[in-house]
Amino acid sequence: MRHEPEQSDDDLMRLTANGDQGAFRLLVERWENPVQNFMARMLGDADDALDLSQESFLRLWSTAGRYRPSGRFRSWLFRIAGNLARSRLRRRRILRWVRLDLAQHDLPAPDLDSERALEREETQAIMRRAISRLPDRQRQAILLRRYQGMSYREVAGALGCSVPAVESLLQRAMVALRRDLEGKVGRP
Amino acid sequence: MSQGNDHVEEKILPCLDGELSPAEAEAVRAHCRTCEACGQAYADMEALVGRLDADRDTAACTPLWPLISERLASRREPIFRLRFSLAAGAAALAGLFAGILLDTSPSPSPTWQQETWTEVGTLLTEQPNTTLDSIYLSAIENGENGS
Repeated sequence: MRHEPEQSDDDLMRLTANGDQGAFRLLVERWENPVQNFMARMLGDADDALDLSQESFLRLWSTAGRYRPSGRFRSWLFRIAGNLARSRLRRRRILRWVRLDLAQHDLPAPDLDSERALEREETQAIMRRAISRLPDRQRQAILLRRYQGMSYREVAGALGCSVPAVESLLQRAMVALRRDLEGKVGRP
Repeated sequence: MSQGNDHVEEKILPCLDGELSPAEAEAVRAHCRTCEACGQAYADMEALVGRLDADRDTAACTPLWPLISERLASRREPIFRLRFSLAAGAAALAGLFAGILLDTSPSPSPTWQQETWTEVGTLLTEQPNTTLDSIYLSAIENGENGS
């Protein structure tokens, strides 16, 4: 079957649910960058991010029949991705606990040589580390809102909670970030 | 939202994110213009939002389709193999029964089916020239004697 690039996500999901791999491929190509970026920021590890991004799409394929087309595809996709990421983070914590590794390297951000790095890159690295230290749900909410540009309603759909709960998560996350960044990045 | 102690800090972020109605957003901004604490909180939050938004991802990532299509194919393969094996087995059985049904004429020499049954019976009982039907009959006899 021929697919048009302008076909909506809902249309492509309907076709995917019927086993149409061409439609599924279009969905993958349309959303692979946002999903990989989200995973990279959630997990702080490129290999894990690549692995779980693939897994997210494979889950999307296998659950396509359960999707109800209502224009909320992005929330559906990032709910799958978020659940996988949180599950991987939980597993990492358990493994670290089992190994009695108390080093705080939950989400290592890439190290930058501060002498050579540009100031903007330094600031970004500091911000990324600060985000990586947020609790999982707060981090997920921040990433979906700020980096994926989702509305509070969409974030609520992806997290499986209410809009006021999203407001509260974001508020707490921003306050924590502001505290964490105090003194590390210059006041504008 | 009045001035004084009725601060609006928790509404600043939704206001900056465009999640409030125009009237609500204007009320928040109006309060922040006159309340020093909320005004400072508004400025801080606006700066932080600006920093985060400036750090959006723009780099292209690894193309996933080749990896995903490969994994989809490998997931499908075991089912395909199973189906193929079942189909092949069913066809072999059908062929065997068709051969037995069609081969009804008496023949001076034992048919290949009889030879096969004898070989299987010999293997099972380790006694020469034992056919499967003789094993079956002796089993029935033993069962009758036992009851």
